[in-house]
Amino acid sequence: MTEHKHTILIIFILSLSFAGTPLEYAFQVTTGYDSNTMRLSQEEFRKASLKPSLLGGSDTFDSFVYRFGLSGNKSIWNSKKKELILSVSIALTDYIHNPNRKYDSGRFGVKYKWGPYKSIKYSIRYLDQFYLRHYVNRDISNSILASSVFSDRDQSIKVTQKISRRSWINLSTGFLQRYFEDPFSEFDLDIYYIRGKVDKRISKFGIVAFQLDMGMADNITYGKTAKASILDRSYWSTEWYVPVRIKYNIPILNEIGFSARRGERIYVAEDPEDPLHSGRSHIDMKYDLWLKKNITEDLNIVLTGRYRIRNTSSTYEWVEDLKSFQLFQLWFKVEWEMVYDDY
Amino acid sequence: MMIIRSIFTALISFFILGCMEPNKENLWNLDSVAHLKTEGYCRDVFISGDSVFIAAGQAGIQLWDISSIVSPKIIWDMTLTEIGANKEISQIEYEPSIKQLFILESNERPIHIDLSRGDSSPIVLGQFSSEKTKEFRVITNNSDSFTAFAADNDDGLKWSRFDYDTTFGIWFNSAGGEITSRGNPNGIDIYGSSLILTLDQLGIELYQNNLEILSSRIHKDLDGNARSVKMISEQEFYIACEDGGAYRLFLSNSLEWQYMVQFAKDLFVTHVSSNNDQISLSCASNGLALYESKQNGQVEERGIHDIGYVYHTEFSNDYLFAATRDGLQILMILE
Repeated sequence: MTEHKHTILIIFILSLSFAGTPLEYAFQVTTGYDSNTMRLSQEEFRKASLKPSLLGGSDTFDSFVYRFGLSGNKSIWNSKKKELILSVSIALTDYIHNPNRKYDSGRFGVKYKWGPYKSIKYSIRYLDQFYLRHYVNRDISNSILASSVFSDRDQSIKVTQKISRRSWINLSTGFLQRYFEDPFSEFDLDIYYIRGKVDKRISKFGIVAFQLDMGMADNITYGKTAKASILDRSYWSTEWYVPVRIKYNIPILNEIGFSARRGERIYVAEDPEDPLHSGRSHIDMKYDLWLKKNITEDLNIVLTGRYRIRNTSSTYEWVEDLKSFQLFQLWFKVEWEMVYDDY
Repeated sequence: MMIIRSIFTALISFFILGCMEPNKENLWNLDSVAHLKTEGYCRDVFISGDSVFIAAGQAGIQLWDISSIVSPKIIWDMTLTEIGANKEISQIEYEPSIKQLFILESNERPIHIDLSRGDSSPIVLGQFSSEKTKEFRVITNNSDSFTAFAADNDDGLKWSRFDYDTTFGIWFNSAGGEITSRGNPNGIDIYGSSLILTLDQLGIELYQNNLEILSSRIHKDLDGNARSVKMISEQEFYIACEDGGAYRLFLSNSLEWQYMVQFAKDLFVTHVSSNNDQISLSCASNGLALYESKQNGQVEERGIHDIGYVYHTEFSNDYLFAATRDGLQILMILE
């Protein structure tokens, strides 16, 4: 993973040295709060109160969060309306009340643009060593807890096309590899997805969009470790997302946005010997509200709140209790946008 | 057109370079080679060449031919009635050099069966030792003599020597003895002139067998209930201690414990077998747990496999034979 991060950075740094175009870059500092860091259900809150080792060394269920980010864009080739743009972003996130969750993430993209809202973009996104929580390592014991940590590698290709004067459409397909560190490789997933999004700009209001996402996760390590991999964790997922951005006629602020996201996951397992996954599904709802204010031309602040609730359905009531949770997050981001132009 | 081709080439290159590899866990997999349905619970197994003797619980005993390992064939079986037993058969052991078979009716006396007249006509010769025998071992002294050692749960360690009388054509119980143990014996194993009894709550006791004069050498209390023992040598052995997990012990020549490693602490271990660095723990309803023995005395986990209720395992020719409630499973460990 580290090698790939270095490769991305090297490509980006090298890209600065050619093409006589300015570099647009931005620093982001975010502070936030997460009320349920490890996505514990009510049942698990009760258990963890009696057995604190479930929290993996953390003293609290919630945590304050810091994130430092850097992003940049550079056009490395252009001709008339055509343009080739490189973009990169990296971020370091630290949950200060959870000693296990500290990770970095990033994205690298190459976009070929042949007109306004007409482009094709390849992106590679990584998430490195994301700590989920502690689980019992069932491959070797009935009680020994170990930290469950995964890394993501998400590659996608997105095509953007204008469909009317104020509307455009994005179609994308992607391949997300979510691989867990030892000893939880039985959770490894290859996720294939397609996504469609329509954006509509409304005069003197803002932008409204609708996105539909469908995916299939293949549990590639099913049956390949020991006892823990006898459960098939493959699933199908669908998600819709509706963001609304109001940009006009707002006092003080420059943007108010809200969104709703509804994801449904259905596990493919039908084995009655596997009550944890067999016939299980869940609906994950996320409601976001954000307020944005441009302090200066280069400096802006964004306050975001999220309420998330996951309701699990299963033949077994204990599975529903175990896998349902809710949380609240609050983020405050300061972004400083700059341009480096030495030409 | 050139630009589009270049972009696509770049995208494909990025895609290939961008993929990552899953992390490997240091676990061993099990490949199922054959599954023998035994009707009753498969309580114990003894492998001798291509012959597999099975203690099939309430189905009595069975002999299977595994010359074709993927499709074993049953040669003969004996029901409890034919054996003259009432309960289930929990242990089986065969002495190929004298062609004598020994079985144990659970918590009763061991039974002696003569197979010297051909595999197809086993003859029950009688019983030896005493009731409440938990486990026994037989060693062949010569072509006309054997000695059986029994872990007698209420008396201690018992031994019985049998000699074949060619005049009458029968096995005579020519000698025997008993030594009281510190606790209630559950299991027994022999290596050379050393013998170990597991003593339930009181751990283990090591004995020296000097021409059938038995003497206690050392006793060691262990966590849990010591159930069965596997001797690798006269100094190194594994102990199954039920809810105390398992132990790997090494005794120096000066009778000091060079190392004493407890492992599988949160598993209910009823039996241990080993083959070079591979260790197999029978964990009752938890299935089978594999471990790797390391040179420094350490033991590392290599995975629990849920193959049903496991009583006992044996290694033979790099195959692992697992006696389970669902019959005998022949497995191969894939490292």
